Order: sequence, then structure tokens, then C-alpha cells
Amino acid sequence: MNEDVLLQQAQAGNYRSFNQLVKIHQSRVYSVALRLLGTVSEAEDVLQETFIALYKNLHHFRGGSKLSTYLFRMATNFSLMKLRRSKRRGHDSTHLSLSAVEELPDTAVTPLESLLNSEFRALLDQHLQKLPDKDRAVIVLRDIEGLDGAQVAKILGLSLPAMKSKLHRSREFLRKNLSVYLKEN
Amino acid sequence: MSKIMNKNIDHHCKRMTSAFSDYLDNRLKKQLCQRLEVHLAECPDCKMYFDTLKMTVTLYRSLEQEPLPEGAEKRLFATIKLARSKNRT
Ligand SMILES: [Zn+2]
Repeated sequence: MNEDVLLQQAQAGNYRSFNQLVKIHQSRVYSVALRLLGTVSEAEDVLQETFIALYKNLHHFRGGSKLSTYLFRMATNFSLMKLRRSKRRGHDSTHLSLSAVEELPDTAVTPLESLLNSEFRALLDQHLQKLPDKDRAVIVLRDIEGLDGAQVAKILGLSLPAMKSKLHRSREFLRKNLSVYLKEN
Repeated sequence: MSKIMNKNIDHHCKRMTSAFSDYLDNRLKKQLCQRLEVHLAECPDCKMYFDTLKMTVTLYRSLEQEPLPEGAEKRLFATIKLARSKNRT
């Protein structure tokens, strides 16, 4: 069923329609949270907080595309808030500076297909977690979730040039750290 | 390439690499696009840099959504139900 129709029904108090909306968006919300936070249990907390927030603000929505932007924004904000809180408690997983390059094991040349194995994915995630929180959020929203630049800037409260410079810097950091695996024949 | 040329080339490369991210996102003006493409064709260092950058971004874009952990959907609906009942009273 069309998402706008579901939204209207949910706004009129139909909880089955609301649950349908949850089912449509839950895995995206969870993925964003997991990639920002790096831990399953915290990502599940954010999943719940995000949909409770949606439930409470349901009457504000007029159309479908705004709904997904709202969910991205809430998932991102709740995640960044959690990261700030855990840092204050002293659980900071020390972020490396962008210029720091880790010693990577020397591997043979690898074709693109086999790069997508789980080992490489783990490596991608590992380096993603080393970025500063907001820089990571830029990569997650822009490159992984495919939002356009203006949307990402708005969600994170950044100017477009600031967002772009974070994007450029983060991509460069990831490229530098992963390039050992990426070099072609 | 001669040593005298190096400084100029490095400067040119630096300007080119700073445009790569926009180029990947199709955000470069046509004229700059063409200049970048010409440069990539003749500069192996930049070509390598660009290829690895492109592959990094491509890999990220190909990542799929994470499946919810066991029981998470059930817990989510329980939480929503609780909020709904609080709302009603
Ligand atoms: Zn060059």
C-alpha cells in the first residue's frame, strides 16, 4: 500500500497502518544507528526511541518523503546524543586523527567482487568507527544511505560547504586506510 | 618527469584531487569535469588515487541494510504499544 495512505490512516488512529510504516522503515533506521554507534544493543535503543518519537509527532506529517527524512534525522540525532553521553562517562573509543594511517597487512591484489566478503566489510566498518562522530554520520547518510548533500547538511545542522568538506575528508581517510586492499593490477 | 616540473605538477594534482569527491557525485561543472578527465588520462598517480577513492565509495554504496537482531521487532512493537496505552489514559 502507498505510504501516504498508510500515513493518513495512522494519523486517523489506525495502529495497523502505523505498524506497517514501522515495518517499512525499521531496518533503515536500525542500520543507520548501528553504523553510527557500532553496538547492537545501543542501535536497538535508538530504533525504539526513533519510532516512539514518530508516534508522538505523527500529526505533523503531510507527505511521504518528509517521513523518511524525519526518521533519518531522529535516528542520527539519538545516535549522536548517545555517543556524546558515553564519551562524558569516559567510554571514548579514542578516535584517530584523520592523518593517521594504520599498518595494514600486505595482501595480494583483490578484485571488487571478493572485496565484498565479510572480512572486508568488517574492515570497512572498523575504519568507519574511527572517524569523528559527525564525519561518520556524513558518510553513513550520504554514501551508505544515499541521501543527497543538502538533506545530509540539514539533518546534521551543517552548512553545505561544511558537509562537503567533511565528506571529502572522510572519504579520503577511508580511501587511505583501505587502498592497500583496493589496488588493482 | 623532470624535477623542475614537479612543483607545478604537484600543485595541479592537488587542485584536481580536491575536486574528486564532487566529481564522483556529479557535482562538477562541465568544464572542470573535462579538465579533470584529461588530467586523469595523463597522470597515473591521480588515476590511482581516483580509482581507489571511487572504489571506496562504491563499496560503501553497495552495503546492504543490517537485519534487525533476534526479537527486536517484537520488542519494538511492545514499546510502541506501551506508548499508545499511556497516550490513551
Ligand atoms: Zn595528477
